Amino acid sequence: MLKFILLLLLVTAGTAAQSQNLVLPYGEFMDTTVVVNPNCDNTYLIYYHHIDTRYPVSTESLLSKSKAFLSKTGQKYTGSGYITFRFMINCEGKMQRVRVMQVDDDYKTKHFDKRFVSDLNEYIHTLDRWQKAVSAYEMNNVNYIAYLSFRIKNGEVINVIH
Amino acid sequence: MLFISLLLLGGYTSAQNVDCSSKAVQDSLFESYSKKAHNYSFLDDAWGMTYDSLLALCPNIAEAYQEKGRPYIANGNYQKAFEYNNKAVELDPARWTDYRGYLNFVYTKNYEKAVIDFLEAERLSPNGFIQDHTYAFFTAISYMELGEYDKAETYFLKDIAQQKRGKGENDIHFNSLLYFGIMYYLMNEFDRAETYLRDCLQLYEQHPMANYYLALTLKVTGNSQKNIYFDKARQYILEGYKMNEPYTYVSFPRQITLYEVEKR
Repeated sequence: MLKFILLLLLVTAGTAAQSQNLVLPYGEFMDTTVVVNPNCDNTYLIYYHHIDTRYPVSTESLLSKSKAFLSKTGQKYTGSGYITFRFMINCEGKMQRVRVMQVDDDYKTKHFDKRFVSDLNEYIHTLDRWQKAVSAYEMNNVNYIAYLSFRIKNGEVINVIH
Repeated sequence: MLFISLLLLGGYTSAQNVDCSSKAVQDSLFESYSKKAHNYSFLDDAWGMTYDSLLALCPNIAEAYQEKGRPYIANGNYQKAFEYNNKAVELDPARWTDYRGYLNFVYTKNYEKAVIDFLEAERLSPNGFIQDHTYAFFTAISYMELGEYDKAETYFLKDIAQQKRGKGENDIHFNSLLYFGIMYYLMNEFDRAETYLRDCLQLYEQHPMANYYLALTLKVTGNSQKNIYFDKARQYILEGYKMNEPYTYVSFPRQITLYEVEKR
């Protein structure tokens, strides 16, 4: 039994980047889990545009950081189009329940290499400047839905939309 | 109009006897159904369902498709957003090509498609405007982002000429001057960049981006005034000044935040 557990740990070690890709009737997800935080007000679904917030750095900064992150993986990526992640930011700035949408340059559904999507998913989890403890509609400490989209040309991220 | 009112009151949803080819009928129906839709948030399923009811009656109302696309724009679902907006353009290109160009420009940063749409919009409606700017303004920035600076320059000049129409005494929009300045900064033509950015600040002294890009320009040229403008950019962001474009859910090209200003 101990050997089995050790084997399991070895197999799963280092695979955090190989995020799951769950295909559900209402969309594809990298992660469907939500840990209920008792400090956050979950009464209503709040979107980033209700509270006029977005990740507080420029597109150019996100672009250079995402490119640096991807270059460290040593991977060669391919494809053109958009990989968009839509997720919940809880009141403590933690990202949860990540949906992924992928389209080509003509906005038709496509799938990039899973590793590419996983690596970008891992990158967005490094972002730690999300607005926290947001108030909206007479509620304090709300969670909110936001998204980040990566425009890709021939395997290279050329823009980050937020 | 009376007929349409009776039709709606009676909940009659058959296309029979409704002249969907009539623009007046289309407009009247759209107005009535939009009133219903606006009882809900556009994120509510009832929003889209209201327009579905309208399209079941008259499937050729371009505006209904555009409205159905709105929630998907806000949520980054490009597949659905453009499916509906493409349909709107197909039904009424003269009305919706510029709007799709704007979506390509600001929401997906698909500058290749933005150029195509704005050139077509210009052909359909010469010297047109959308979202406070000429089509040439968006075409110019799109070319700038594509690195095609000669074409960008041509369209920035067209944008300015169009704004100066008549006696040529109109103020130029400060963001035309801002982006013209940014383009010269990107081209390493720092004297021209400084000129346009200072002109922008003449019209809008607290413009955070103009102060920031002027600071960057002065930094490159070794001008010690750079810190004055970095400080101003920081101060004005903290005081809540913005670039003053119509509200968008996403950033404009080259838009900055406090994070960049503080990095200097």
